[in-house]
Amino acid sequence: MATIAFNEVTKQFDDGTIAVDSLTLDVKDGEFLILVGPSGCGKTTALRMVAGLEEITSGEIRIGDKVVNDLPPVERDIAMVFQNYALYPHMTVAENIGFPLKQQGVKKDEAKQRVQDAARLLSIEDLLHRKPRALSGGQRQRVAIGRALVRRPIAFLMDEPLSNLDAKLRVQMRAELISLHKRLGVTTIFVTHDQTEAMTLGDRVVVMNKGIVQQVDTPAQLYSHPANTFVAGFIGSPAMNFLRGRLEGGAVLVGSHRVELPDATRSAVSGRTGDVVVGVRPEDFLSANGDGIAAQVAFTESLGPETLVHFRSDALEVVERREQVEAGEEEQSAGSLGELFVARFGPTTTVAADQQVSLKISAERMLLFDATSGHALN
Amino acid sequence: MVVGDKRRARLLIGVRLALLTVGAVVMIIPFAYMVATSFKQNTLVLQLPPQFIPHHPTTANYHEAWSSNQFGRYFVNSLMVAAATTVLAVLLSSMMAFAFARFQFPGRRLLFGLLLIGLMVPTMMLLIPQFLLARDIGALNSLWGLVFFYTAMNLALNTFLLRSFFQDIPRELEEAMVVDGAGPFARYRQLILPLSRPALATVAIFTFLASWDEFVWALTVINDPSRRTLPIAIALFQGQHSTSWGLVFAASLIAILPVLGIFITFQRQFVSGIASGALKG
Ligand SMILES: Nc1ncnc2c1ncn2[C@@H]1O[C@H](COP(=O)(O)OP(=O)(O)OP(=O)(O)O)[C@@H](O)[C@H]1O
Ligand SMILES: [Mg+2]
Repeated sequence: MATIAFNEVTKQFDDGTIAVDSLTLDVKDGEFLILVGPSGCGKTTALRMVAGLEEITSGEIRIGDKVVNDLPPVERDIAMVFQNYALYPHMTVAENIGFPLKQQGVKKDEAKQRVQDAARLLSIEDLLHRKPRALSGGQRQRVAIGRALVRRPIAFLMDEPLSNLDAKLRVQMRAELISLHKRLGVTTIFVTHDQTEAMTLGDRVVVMNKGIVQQVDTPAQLYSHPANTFVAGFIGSPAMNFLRGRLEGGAVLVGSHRVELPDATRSAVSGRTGDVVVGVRPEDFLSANGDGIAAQVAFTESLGPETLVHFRSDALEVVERREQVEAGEEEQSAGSLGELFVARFGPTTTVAADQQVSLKISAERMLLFDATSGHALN
Repeated sequence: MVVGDKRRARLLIGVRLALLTVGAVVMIIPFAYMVATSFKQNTLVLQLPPQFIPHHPTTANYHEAWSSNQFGRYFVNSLMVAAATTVLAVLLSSMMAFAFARFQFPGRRLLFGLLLIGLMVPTMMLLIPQFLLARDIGALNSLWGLVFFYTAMNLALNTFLLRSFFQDIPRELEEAMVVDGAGPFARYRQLILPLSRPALATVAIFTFLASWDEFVWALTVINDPSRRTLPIAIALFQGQHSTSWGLVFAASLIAILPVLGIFITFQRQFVSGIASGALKG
């Protein structure tokens, strides 16, 4: 077991792509750290540098107290689950899982026992004699996890290991991985692009974008106190609503709607005036009695425990997040679909499409961001 | 499918079959004639019109071919030389190909370029320099000398073929092995070789054929009659027996048997999609 420390680690590929940009990060001994971010943000590259599969352009990676920049992978004693499984196609499942043990010279009987144990844990005991080509995607993924688990490495690197499982199996495997981690206490870096997974799994979550760490924090903090508009928009589903606003003497004007700042926020923005971006989580739109923001419901989605109300309002102006515009990303969530906003209501709400409603913004939970840099102000 | 399409497809298949038949007949007739002749008495060999089914078939040619002139010994010589060459050439060229495909080392491109040049120089041009070399290292008139030079002659093409095959093996598989603690030799033996069986089989067949059939070099360096290989022995039939074609063909057909054996052994390795299931998607 060991700590893993990145110190100003940068990876630039030969074609000039900077995949990871001066990453500084300390993974504590025995921690389960989540690395999350959109596709292409450098998650895999970061893992591969820890594993020793990718050379480090500049900076330093330490495992324990040893700088491993020039240490060959074999000597790092790290197990990795590859994003695309990388199963050995000519070997059976049992041989695949047992391969690292064979390389370590573990005795046959013991190796067999450990392969069995791993297979039982992953519910693939019945598949041990099969070749990878005769497995479904989810089964392959579990074999890949099994191959990492049989070893007793000083750290696990998992590159989206649950991405191909169906929803139910994924939830089950998440629980398994957590209890396994509790039991073994092996330092783990777990990569995912799924923010829900990140929120449910980690002690600490690292949010990355374009090779740059945006925020390292607990899931709760990421949700309630995102460092910038990227994190705010990336974490949470449906995504946060971003509205154009103006700071003016202890209050923020959102369109024609005026929200008085609570004391904490007021001291945080300390006399600042001018344009800001106002971030409102869907659950932070509350219904008002006629004197709030006039809104027209476009459609509703009933999800059981909650109802999502998508609405449009002439009183509010949407702010396109820069990242979104650049990525041409529109599926993100309905919250940012054109001029539509989204609010989260209780399951018993009677609000329906085409209805007029009146809404207000929860002043305590509203977030303010700098209009140009996107940094959080409160 | 529309009716017209179906008719067109059938027509196309018909044309294809006809062409294939013509090709096959052109290929097979000489061979069939050779087989037929090997079963004929010598006096009937040049009969016109040619007979494809001999009237009085006889196996006399086979008996005579096998028992004359230490034919059995030549057969064994050839077999040993070809087998040893195949094993050595495949082993060495697969290692070289692995190095060229997956390792960065100084002079890599230069060395590979030299190898390719080796492919382009005609064998005949190398005959005399090779002979001098063989003389200096004492490889004349010896079967091991043959193995040595045959191996060298086959390395370039084999390495070239295997390298491109190895390059197509997903890099991630090798990286997974690296992380699992496998060194270069373990990867070569447990990943590259098993995944390349079709390519290795192809290369083995090429090498075996090339060294089994080789004539000019063997004729140049082998003097001792007891160390002759089959191609020389068969050629000698022609002079000595004022070319009794039945005999030559019988000897040639005997010489084909091991080649058939090799084909049948290795063709089982030509399984397609050996690497499927390794990676996502
Ligand atoms: N070998 C390479 N050569 C050049 N660029 C590369 C190479 N590998 C990755 N990249 C680039 O580096 C960036 C980061 O890639 P990386 O694979 O780390 O992303 P990721 O966060 O794992 O994405 P995903 O969620 O899609 O797996 C991308 O822009 C990618 O195109
Ligand atoms: Mg990735």
